[in-house]
Amino acid sequence: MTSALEAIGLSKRYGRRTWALRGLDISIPQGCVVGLVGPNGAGKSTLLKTWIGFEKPTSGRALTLGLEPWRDRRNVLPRVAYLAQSPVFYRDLTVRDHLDYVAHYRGSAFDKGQALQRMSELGVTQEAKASTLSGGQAAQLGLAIAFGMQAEVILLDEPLAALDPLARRAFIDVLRAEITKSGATAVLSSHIVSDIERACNRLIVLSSGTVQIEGAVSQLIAEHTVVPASTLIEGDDVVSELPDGRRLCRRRLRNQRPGSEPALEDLVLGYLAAGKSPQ
Amino acid sequence: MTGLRIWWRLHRAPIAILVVASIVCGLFGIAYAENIRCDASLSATDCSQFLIYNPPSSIFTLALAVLPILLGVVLGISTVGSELESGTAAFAWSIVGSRRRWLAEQAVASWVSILVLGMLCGGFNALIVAKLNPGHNLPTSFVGYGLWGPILVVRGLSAYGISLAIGAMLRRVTASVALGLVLVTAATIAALVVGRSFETSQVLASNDPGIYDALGVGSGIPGPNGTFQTWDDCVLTEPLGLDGDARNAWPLEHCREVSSYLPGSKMVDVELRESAVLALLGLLGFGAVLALVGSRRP
Repeated sequence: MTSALEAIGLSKRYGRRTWALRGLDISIPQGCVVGLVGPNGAGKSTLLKTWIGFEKPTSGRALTLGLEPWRDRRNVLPRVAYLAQSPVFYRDLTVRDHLDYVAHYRGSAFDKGQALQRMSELGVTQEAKASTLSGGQAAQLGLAIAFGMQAEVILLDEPLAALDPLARRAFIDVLRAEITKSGATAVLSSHIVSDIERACNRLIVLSSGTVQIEGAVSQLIAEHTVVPASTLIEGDDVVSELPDGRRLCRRRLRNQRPGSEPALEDLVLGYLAAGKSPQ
Repeated sequence: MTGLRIWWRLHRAPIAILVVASIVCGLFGIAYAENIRCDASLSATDCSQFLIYNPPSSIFTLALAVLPILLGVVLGISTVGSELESGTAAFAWSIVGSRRRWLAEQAVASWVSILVLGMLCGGFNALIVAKLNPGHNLPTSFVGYGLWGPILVVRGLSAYGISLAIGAMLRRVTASVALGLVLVTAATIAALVVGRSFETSQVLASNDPGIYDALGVGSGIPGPNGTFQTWDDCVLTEPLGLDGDARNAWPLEHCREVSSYLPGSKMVDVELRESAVLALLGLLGFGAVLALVGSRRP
C-alpha cells in the first residue's frame, strides 16, 4: 500500500539544543485514520507542521503524498487540509467570507456549496461572524473547509482540546463519516484517548520527539496483554507498570499465556510511561 | 474581486477612520485657509514655519501629511505581523498555494488604498498651502515643501514596506507599531536630509524676489573659498593699517551674516531625490518580506 505520509529519519531542532523530533521513521498508508498521542511537548504539532510544510526538517525527510512539503508546497498544499489547534479564523469575517476566501485560493477544487450546506445543517448561519462561533462550531467550520477542499490528507492538530464532550462527539462522527466517504487519510492529534479510540484505526504514540509505538490499533492490541504484577514470570516482556499496578506486556508467540486484552488507554499509558520503543 | 472584498472587510476599519479624518482635516483646513493668508512677502522657509507653527494650520496640514504614513504603518503591520500574532496565518497559509501570491494580493490592495489616501491628503494640503500662499507657483517653490503633493503617497508606501518587514520579523503587533513608527520617522527624516543634499545652495540678497520661493538651508559669514566661517576667523582677515572708525566699520561691513538658499526651481529635483530614497527603503522592506514569507513559521 502506498504511503500517504512518511517520516524518514526526521528530526527537528529549535534553536541549538531543543529537539522537537528525533530521527522519526513513520509510514502511514493511504486511507488510514491515525491517532497521534503524546504529552505536551512530545512533538505532535511539529510533526504535523512538517507534513504540511510549515516546518523545515533539521535532518531527514518528511513526505506528504510522496512530495517534500517544505520544498514543494505549491503541489502539496492543494491536496492537504490542515486544522490548527484551536482553529483561528478571522474574527471580523463571516462563515461565508471564510468559505469565499478558501474558494478564492483553491478555485474549483473547493466545494463551497457542500461546506455551506454542512454549516447550515449545524444551524450556523452563513452570516455568522467567526467571533460569534462556539468552539465546536469553529471546529466544524474547519472540518467543513477541510472536506470541502476534497483533500487527500487531513491533518488535525488537537482540534478537540477545547471542546465539550457533545461537540467532540459531533466532530468525530462527522470526521468518521466523511473519511469513510472520501477515502482520505487523516491524522488526529489529541490528548483524549477515548476520542482516538472512536475515530482512529491506527495509532502513533510520541514522547520526547521519538516514536514509542506505531501501528494498526487492532494489531497493537493483539500484540499486547495486561497481567497482574503477581503473575509475572521470568521472560515476560514487560513494557511498563500501569497506574493500577498491572503490567503491560508484549505477547510473544512462545509466551501465549493468559492475560487480559489491553484497552487502548492502557497501551498509550504503558508506552508513555515506558518511554521506549518496542523491540 | 473576492480576494479584494475579503481584504477590504479585514482592513476597512482603519482605512475608513483615516479617510474620514483626512476629509475632516481637509475641509476644516480649507475653511481656515480662506480666512487667513501667509504674508506674501515671507520666504518659503518662513511660510513653512508659519504653516507648521500657526496652531490651526499646523494641526490640519501636519495631520494630513501624517495620515498616509499612519495608514502605511497600520496596513504594513497587519498584513503579516498581526496574522502571525493572531494565528490566522496558519489558516491562510494552509489554504494558499503560494504565499508570495497571497502577499502580492495583500500588498497591491494596500498600495492602492495608500495611494488613494495619499492623493486625497496631498490634494487637500496643496489647496490649503496654495490658499495660504497666494502668488507662489507651488511646483517651483519650496513653500509648504513636504506637506502637499505626491510625496505624501511615497511616504505612505515607504512606511508600508518598512512596517511590513518589521511586523513579519517581530510577529507582535504592539512592538511592531512602536518600532515601526520610530523607524518610519527616522526614514522620513533621513530622506528629507538626502533630498536636500547634493544641491548647491546660493546666497540670496534679502531683496531677491526668488527668496520667497527658496528654501533656507544655512546661514553664516561667507569665507574666502565659498564656505562659511566664524566671526573670529573673519575678523582675522581684517587688513592691516586700519584705525579708528574705519577699523570699527570693517567687520560690520565684511563679516555680515548671510543666509544660503535652495532656489524654488530645485524643488522637484529635491522631492524626486527624497522620493527615490523613500521608495528604495520601502522596496527593501517589501523585498525582504517577499523573501522571508516563504520560510516564516505560522
